Amino acid sequence: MREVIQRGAPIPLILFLTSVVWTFLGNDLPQTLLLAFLGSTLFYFLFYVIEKNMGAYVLRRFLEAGFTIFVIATMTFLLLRVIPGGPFDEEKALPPAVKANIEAKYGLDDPLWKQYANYMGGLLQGDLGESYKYVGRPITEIIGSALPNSIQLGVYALLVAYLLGLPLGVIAASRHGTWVDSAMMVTAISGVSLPSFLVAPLFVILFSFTLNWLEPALWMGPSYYILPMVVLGIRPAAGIARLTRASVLEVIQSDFIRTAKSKGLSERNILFKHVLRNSLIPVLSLAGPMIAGILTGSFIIELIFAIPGLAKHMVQSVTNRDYPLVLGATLLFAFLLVLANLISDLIIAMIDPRVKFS
Amino acid sequence: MIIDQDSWKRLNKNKVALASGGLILGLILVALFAPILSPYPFDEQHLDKVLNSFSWEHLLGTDNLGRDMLSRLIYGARISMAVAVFTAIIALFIGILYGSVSGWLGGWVDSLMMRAIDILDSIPALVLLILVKVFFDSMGLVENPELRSLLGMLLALSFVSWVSMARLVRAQVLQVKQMAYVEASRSMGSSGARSLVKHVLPNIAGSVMVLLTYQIPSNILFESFLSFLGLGLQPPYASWGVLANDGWRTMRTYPHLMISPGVAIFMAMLSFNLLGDGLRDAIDPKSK
Repeated sequence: MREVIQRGAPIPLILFLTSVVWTFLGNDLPQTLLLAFLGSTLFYFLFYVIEKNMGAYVLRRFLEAGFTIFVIATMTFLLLRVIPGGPFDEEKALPPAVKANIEAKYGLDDPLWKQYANYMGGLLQGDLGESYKYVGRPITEIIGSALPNSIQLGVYALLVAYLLGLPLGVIAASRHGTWVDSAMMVTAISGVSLPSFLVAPLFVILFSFTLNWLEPALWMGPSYYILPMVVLGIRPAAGIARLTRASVLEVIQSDFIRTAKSKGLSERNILFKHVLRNSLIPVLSLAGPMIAGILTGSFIIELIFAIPGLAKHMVQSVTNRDYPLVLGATLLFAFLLVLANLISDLIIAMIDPRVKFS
Repeated sequence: MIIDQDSWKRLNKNKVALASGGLILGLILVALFAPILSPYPFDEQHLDKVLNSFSWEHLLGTDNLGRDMLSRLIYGARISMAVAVFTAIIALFIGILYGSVSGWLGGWVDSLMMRAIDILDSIPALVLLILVKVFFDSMGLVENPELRSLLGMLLALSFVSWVSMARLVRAQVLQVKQMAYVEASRSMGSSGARSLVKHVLPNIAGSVMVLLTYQIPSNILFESFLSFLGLGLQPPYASWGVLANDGWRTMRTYPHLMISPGVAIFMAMLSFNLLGDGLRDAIDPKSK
């Protein structure tokens, strides 16, 4: 029974990739597919938690993540309340009575502790309050309509990064010291040194305006997706290529590979069966910081390509002093990052046989 | 002291790293001697020669106010480099202080200090940058708007970059403090602080320097990100990030406004990254 279940471990991954391809082709994500993916992921998560006896570890990580979000919420809340100038200080001053009424409506005349308690109470129920600028629209709704686009962009870029970076790094390492290696590493370090706001306009001019292959902006289908996701993926791809190469080189020089070679195994066999498996772990453990980089980079990309995602709201809400929206966006970004780190750590713990929990 | 003789020899053999070092040196000289090197004052407007492309009179063309792009680029080098280097130095001091205290004391102090860092790390860098920058700008602590935007930039960037320095210093201190020579100095009666400063810190200087070199290009990048979001320096002062940001909006019609700051940012980041690689390989030859 256990072995049958273990055989099926790639199912969540396959479902995930299916969803990615499906949405990439411009379709909406069907509910059943999403549920199947989430369900199978949860199932395997629980299976491995029990299998590897890591319940205590997982619980601790979840509590830590919750605490982190709580502290960030508190800090951001205080930070925004300390800034002088309120959301309703407009260039043409409002009559004091009107302003007082508006502030009363949003509870801004309450003492600070009460505002804080209200906010935290709402947060626990998944209520982030109402926007000050988009009157009457709840934050969850504003963020909810932007989030799917941002997540889509981020996931595509992450895939581009790994699909480009891994092969590049492996090829460079397996041709260590030759011109292929040098050429690939020069490409990689150039990629690390190229800011996306330089690559993006170049690509737009080349692929949209000159060749007319892809759309220069917006987010409405495959021909819109390709440019932003590639531009966003380039820097992490270069980073992954460099790390993969270093990791593969280290494994190649280790004793067990020498043993495998002296046994007379073929080069190909050694590379795929022994080297790759062992060198992938450090590369996968980079997923957390990689996702942090993609989150940051996606800001610039979303603005350049006019993608209706979270970046626009974050930037605008800060200048508008739309406190609930700033708080909501910051919290969501922090939540995504904490979640990404948690997931990548858990995946490492599951696949790396050296990590043991007792 | 920081680089021992063997490492120095290894670095000397690395032609790429040396060339990058030379380029960086050149860049620093350009930044220092900007007033002598630039053909025109950076804010002088030639309204009869607006948006000219490359010419003998204005080698890199002029911008929409007829300002000489070469001069703006040279002064931009000054601002971009100053911001990147000062940020790295501030981050270095905070990072060493925080990291060595955390690593040296260990125990619950260490776990508490590391938890605090973890929390800061859970906010994406650009979100943190925006929050700190906007916070500082609207506090109105500094009257002069140019100085305020510069200080806000330095504060925001250091706030983001000290964390990785502190992590590195802590990890290294944890490792080095178990070495026999540190134990020896403690047992001969030297105080904790003295052992830390005299024996531990000099031995981690190498890896600190490698990280410092890598942080400068990332500071350049973040500075241009902020400029891109309109949170950069106030005109007429312009860093490379501001110039590139002005340039890309008119890239199709006036490509020269984009090309020169773009190439400058790329070359500077590439040189620092290559030098960082060279230093890393020289100081720790095992990590290839």
